[in-house]
Amino acid sequence: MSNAQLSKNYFELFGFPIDYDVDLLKLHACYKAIQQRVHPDRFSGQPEQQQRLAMQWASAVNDAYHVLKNPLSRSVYLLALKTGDDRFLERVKVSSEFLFEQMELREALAQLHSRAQAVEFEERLVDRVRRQEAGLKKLFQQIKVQSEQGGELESVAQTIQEYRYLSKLLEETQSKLKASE
Amino acid sequence: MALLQISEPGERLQQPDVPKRAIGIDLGTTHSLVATYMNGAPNVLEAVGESGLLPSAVRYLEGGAVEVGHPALRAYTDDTANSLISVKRFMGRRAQEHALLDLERVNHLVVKDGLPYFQTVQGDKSPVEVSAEILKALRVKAEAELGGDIEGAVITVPAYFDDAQRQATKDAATLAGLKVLRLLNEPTAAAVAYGLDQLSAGQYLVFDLGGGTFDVSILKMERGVFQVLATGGDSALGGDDFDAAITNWFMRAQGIEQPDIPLLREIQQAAKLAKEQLSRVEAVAVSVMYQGQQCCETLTRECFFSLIEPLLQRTITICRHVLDDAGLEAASLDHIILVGGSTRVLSVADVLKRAFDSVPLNTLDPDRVVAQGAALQADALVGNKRDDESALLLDVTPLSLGVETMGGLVEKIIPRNTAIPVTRAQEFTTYQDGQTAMSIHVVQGERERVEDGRSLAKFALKGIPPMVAGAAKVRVSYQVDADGLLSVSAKELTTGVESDVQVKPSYGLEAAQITRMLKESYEHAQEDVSHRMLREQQIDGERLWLALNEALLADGERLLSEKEYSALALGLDDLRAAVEGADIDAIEAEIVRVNQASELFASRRMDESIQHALTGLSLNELSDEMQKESE
Repeated sequence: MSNAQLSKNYFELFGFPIDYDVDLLKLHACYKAIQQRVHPDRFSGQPEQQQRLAMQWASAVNDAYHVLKNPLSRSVYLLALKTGDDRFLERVKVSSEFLFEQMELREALAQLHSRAQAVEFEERLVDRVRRQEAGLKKLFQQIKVQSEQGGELESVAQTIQEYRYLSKLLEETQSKLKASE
Repeated sequence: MALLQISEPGERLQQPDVPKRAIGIDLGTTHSLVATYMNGAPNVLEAVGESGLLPSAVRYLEGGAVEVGHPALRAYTDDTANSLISVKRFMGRRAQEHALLDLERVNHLVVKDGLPYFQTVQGDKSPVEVSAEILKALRVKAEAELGGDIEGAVITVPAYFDDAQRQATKDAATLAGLKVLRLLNEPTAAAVAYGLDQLSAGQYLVFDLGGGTFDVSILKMERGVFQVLATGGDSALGGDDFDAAITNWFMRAQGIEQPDIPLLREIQQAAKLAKEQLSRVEAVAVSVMYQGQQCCETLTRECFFSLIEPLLQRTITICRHVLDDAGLEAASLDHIILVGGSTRVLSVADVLKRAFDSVPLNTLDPDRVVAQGAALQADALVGNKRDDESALLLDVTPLSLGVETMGGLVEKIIPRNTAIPVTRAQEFTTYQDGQTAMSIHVVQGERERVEDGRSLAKFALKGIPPMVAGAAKVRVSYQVDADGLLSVSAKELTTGVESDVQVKPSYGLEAAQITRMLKESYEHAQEDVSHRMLREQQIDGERLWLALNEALLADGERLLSEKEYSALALGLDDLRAAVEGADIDAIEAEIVRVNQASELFASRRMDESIQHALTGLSLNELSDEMQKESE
C-alpha cells in the first residue's frame, strides 16, 4: 500500500506530539474533522479504489481514536512505540510489592458482605486507580525530559501493568455493584 | 503542463444537472415504506387514497402472479399456504430457532439444510425471496412516481440485526433489482429525520419498537456528526409478541388446545385488531368462529397491560444495559425518542416515563420516521448535497465478533459497540507438531461458549508448512464495513500462506444462486438480459470516467507528475472508447485497469484532504468546539 499517511502512528495521524498527555477535546474535534473527510459515506458512487481507501482510512481513524481516548490503551500503545516492541509490556515482571497488594485487594473483594462495604471498597479503588494514573503520567513526563533508558521504560511497563490490573478490578467491582441494585 | 488528452465529455457521458433519484426503504415486519427527498423534505411515497404503508404481506398465486400488500393481507386467513406476513422475522434465521416458535406454528414450512422455506403453489420460497417481492413492489412504486430509474436505495435494518440477517436483507435487495447504497440502522435513520429540524446538539436515546424487532440506540448529536455511542436490542421482540400474548390468553380462556393454522391465524388477526383498538378504548371484545360457534372474550386495557408487562420490562432492562455500555446515566439523556408502530401501545410510553423519569418524544410519525431518515441519507449518499450540508453518521457493531478457540470457547476480536468501519486482527498458533491446516470458526454474540453464539462461517487455512507446535503464526483479520457486514481473512505470517472469505453466513444463499435468480426474474419480465447487463456495465464505466475525469481536472496537475498524469489520462481515453462500444468484457477490463492505475492518485488526494481537515481546524474553531462541549 503506497500510502504514506496510513502508515503513520496514531499520534501523528491526528497531528499530535508522541506524548502521554492528550487533550481529549482536541482529539474528539480532530477525529470528527478527519472522519468527515474519509468516511465511506463521503465516497458512495466514487470509483472502487477510492471506496476501498476510504474504508481503510475510516477504520484506521476509528482505531486511533479508540486507542488514544483511553489512558490505559494510550499508555500501552505509547510504550510499544517507545520500545519498538509489541511484547515488551508482557515480558516485564510485576513487582513483589504489587503482587502482595493484589492479593490483599482480592481478599478484601471476597469479604464484602454488605452494600455499604462494597461502595466503600469501590471508592477506595477509584482513588487507587487515580493515583496510579497520576504516577504513570509523571513517569512519562520524566522519560520525556531525560534520555530514555531501558530501566525507566521497565518501570513504566510495571506501572502500566498495575494500572491495568487495578482498572479491571474496579470494573468487576462496579459491575457487581450494578448487579446488586 | 498542457492538459493532455482530456477531451470534452461526449454527449453520452455528460452529467445531467438534475438531482439523482435515490430512495429510502423501511422494510418492516408489519409494514414497509419507500420515501424520497424532494422539495426540501423527505416524503413517503403514497399513491392516491393510500396511506403509504404497504403491509409486508405477500401472496403467491397459481400461474406465477404475486400480490403484495393489502390483497395479500386480506387472503391471510383463507389462503394460508400462499399468503405470508412477518417474514422479516425469518430473515437470516435457521428453522426451529426459539425466536420463530410463535411464527412457525402459523405457517406451512419445510426445512432444507436447517433453513426454513414457505411451501407455496409457486414452489418453496425462502424468506429472502419473499422479502425481495416486497422490495420489488416498492421499487416499482418509486419508479412510477419519480418517473425513471432509481440511482440507488438506502435500506434500513434493525440495529440489532446480526451479520446473517443483514446479509439476507442485502441479498433480497439485489434480488429486487435495487442497488444498495447503504444498510442503515433503523434508530440511526430515525435520529437523522429528527435531527433535521427538531433536535439540537445533545444525547438521545432512540427507543424503536417495531412489529418484530426492538432496538435501542444512544446517539450523541453534534454539529455535522451523529455518533452512535452504544446500541442493543432484541431482534425477536415486537408488536407481534403482543399479539401472541393476546392469542395465548384467548386460547387459554376458551380452552382451545390444538388449533389448526386457519383458526390460529384468525385468532392472531383478532388479537392484533384488539391491541390496536385498546389504544383508543378501555375494553374490546375478541371474537372468532370456532367449531361453528362464535367464541368471544372481553379484553380490558388493564388485562392487556398485564399480559405484555413482562415484555415491556425486557425492553427497559435492555435500555439500562445500553446506557451502561454508553457509560451514561439516564439523567444525562436530553430526550428519549419513540419510533416504531408498537410504541403506539399506551403502556409503552408509561413504562418508559416511570423507568427514566422523562417524557418520551414522538413529534414525528413513528411509522414514517425511519423511512424519512433513510430518504435523507440516500439523497446525501448519491451526492445531491454538499458534504457540509448533511451530517456524518458514525455507527457501531451491535454484537461482538469472535473466533472459536480451544475447548469450544469464543475469543472476541471485535467487541460490541465498536465504531465501524473497523479492522482488527489477532494472532493464533498451531497446537500440534506438523499441523498443516487450521480451521477458523467465526462466531457472533456475547456468550463465552461457541454453542451459545451464532455461527457465521467456518473455513480452513491450508498449506501451512509443517513446524513444531506453536511456531506458526496465523493472523486472523476481521473487517466490518459501513453496512455492518463482516469479511474475514487469515494469513500464516512466516510463509505468507493466505485465505480470504467473504463471510456468507450459513443461512443459505450463495452469490451464484442470487445471480441465477436475478437472471430468471429478468427472463420472467421478458427483458433482454444481455442488453440490460451491457447497459449496467456501461453505466458503471461512465460513472468511473466522470468521477476520475473531474478529479483529474481538479487535482491532477498538482498531485501527479507529468508522466503519471498522462498515463492516467490515456487510461481514461481507453475507458471511454470501451464504454462507447458494446463489448461487456472490454468495458469490465478497462474498469479494472483504470481502477488500478488510479490508486496512487486516490491516496494522494486522500492525504491532501486530511491535511486540509487538520489545518482547517484553526485554533478559533477548536476553542469554539471546546466551548460547546463544556457547556
